[in-house]
Amino acid sequence: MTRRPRRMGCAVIAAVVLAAAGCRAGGAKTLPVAPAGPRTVYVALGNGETAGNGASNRIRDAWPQLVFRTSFARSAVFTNFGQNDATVAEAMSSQLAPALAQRPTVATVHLTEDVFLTRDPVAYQRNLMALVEQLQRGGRTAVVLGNLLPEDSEPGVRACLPDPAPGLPRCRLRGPDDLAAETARTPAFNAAVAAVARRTGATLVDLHAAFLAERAAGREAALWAGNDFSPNDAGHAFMARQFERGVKTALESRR
Amino acid sequence: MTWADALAAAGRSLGRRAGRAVLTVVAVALAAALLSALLIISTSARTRVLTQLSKGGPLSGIQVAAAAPSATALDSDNPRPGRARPIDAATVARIRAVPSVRTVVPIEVNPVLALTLTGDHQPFADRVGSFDLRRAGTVPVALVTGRLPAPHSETEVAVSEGYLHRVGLDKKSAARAVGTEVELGAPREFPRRGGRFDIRGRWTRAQIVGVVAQQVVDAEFLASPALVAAQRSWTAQSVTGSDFGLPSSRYAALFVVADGLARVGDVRAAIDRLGYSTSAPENLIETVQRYLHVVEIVLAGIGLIALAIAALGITNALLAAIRERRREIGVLKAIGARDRDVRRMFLIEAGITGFAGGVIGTAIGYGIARLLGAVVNTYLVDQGLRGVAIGLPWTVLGGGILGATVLAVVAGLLPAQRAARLPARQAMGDA
Repeated sequence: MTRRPRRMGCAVIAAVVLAAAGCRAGGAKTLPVAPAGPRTVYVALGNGETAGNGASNRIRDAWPQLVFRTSFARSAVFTNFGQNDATVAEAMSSQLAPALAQRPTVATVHLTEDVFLTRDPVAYQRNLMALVEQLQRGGRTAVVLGNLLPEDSEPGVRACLPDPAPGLPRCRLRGPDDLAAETARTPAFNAAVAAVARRTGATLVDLHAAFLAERAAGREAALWAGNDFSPNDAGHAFMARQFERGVKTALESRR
Repeated sequence: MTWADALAAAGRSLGRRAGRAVLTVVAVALAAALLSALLIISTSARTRVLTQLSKGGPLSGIQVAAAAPSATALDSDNPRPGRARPIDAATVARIRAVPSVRTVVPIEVNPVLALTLTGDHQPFADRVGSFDLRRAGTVPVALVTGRLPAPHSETEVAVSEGYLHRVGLDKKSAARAVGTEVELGAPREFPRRGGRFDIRGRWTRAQIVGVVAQQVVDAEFLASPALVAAQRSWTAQSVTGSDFGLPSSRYAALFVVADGLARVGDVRAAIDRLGYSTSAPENLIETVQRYLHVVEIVLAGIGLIALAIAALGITNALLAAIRERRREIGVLKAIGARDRDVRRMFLIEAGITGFAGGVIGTAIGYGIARLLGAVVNTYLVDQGLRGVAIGLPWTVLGGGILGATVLAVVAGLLPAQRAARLPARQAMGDA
């Protein structure tokens, strides 16, 4: 009889302590700290496609931004130097110096406007060689080089065919004769790109062959935008996948 | 009769009348529980309100803008700043030297173009801000969810509520932003042929590790100083001198903490004399503190009324005990017990009752406060606000136990005195 109040008191205190212990004020959850990986500095030199032409969101969906997003650790830093209508010579004067200032560890180069603008594959190869050699910084930068797309499928080019399909944009080239000449120069320019890759040890990304493979599979039309001369979102994603493989190859070959 | 004898006699007496003793203890416990719960809740609510007023930072925090003060700057908590005036390292040193300044935290910002990778959102221009994240407790940044970026990380950011709105989230679903990734591009102008220029971004990727309730200098992203310094270095090299909204000052603002709320006015005046505009919620906090003090008095009054009722219960129980134990008192006196021995026995009995009631009551009061805190936190989190942390106020708990004991002893004085003065013959005769 005398022990009952004591036991009741103990039970009440225990219940209160347990209830209090079970009620925690709303605290923030803790996330793990991201590990700091090795710093990769990635630069992209190029012309319209590199700048995002044809993508529905030129910044978010441009192929170099996709490569940056998927090929490197989160600690990587990236700058896109792509410019519309930039020849290799112009890229040397306006893109190369700021790119080198970043001390890049990886660089992609996709400069293809000379086929339309300078039309001189010899000068193109000479300039591209000089650009790649400087960009390599004596081997400290892994350079990945893309070649020309098969422009005979570009909507802007197909619009200049003698009997263009309905829905294509208005022809902006100089006529069917010029069109034949334009497309005829592509192999020479791609040979120049291949030669530069071979001599400098840069990794070649054969975009031309990849697009032709898509053509053979009946999927190429889905890669082009209706803005004359550029790939669409799917095309940029496709280009990004090719360059991702090139970057991976380049980095593995350096190890 | 020794103290030990009196203690043993009081214990036996309580044991013999266990039902009444338990009821008396329960009365004291309920009163102590009410008082301690009210005090704990009011203390926590006071902390919460004042913290909210000071936007998560210390109450004695002062924001210094990179601008000259207006003529009436010190008359207002949040004055309109004057013309822009850079804050550099020398400014920081001068303000650190002001008397009663405890800490000075410089805040840096840089413009960024941000890409969110969840959903189909367009890139948007905003700013990323930073300060020494090791001193996060001194800066008005309240965490809604997650955590702040690691002090030296260049791959982590916290975002503001404004970012949540951009990506279609509200405060309630703030946690969904945590763990996602953003790409931040610091802008810079590069020359191009024909006198034109191109804008290039220095892009970095960062994981969102937390959401903060307030913005640091109107920036939607909060990052480490290392990340912002690298971005500033990039943007500052723009060829045309375009600043993209980048402040000309190295530091966008300073957050100064004074040695207590009472010193805020003096420190603000000193910084004003140095030529910088300041803002601090000192007047607002002082006003609210006065209102909160009134609320505390009212709540304490309610608790004291409960304690007074409990005291009456103790007195009543002891008076009843005296009536029932007149023969026992008479026998004690007949065998030599003095008045003070009888008085001591009853006071000890009252003290034991008060102490037991106080211990149980304050424990229950703390439990009630925690339960209420959990309920309130559920509501606050539902509203997207930060929860209330119910602490363990030792002064309230200790005071509750001691106060209940003292109150019981005081309540037992009259019955004890009456028992002590009861003549032995009369006690035996009445019985």
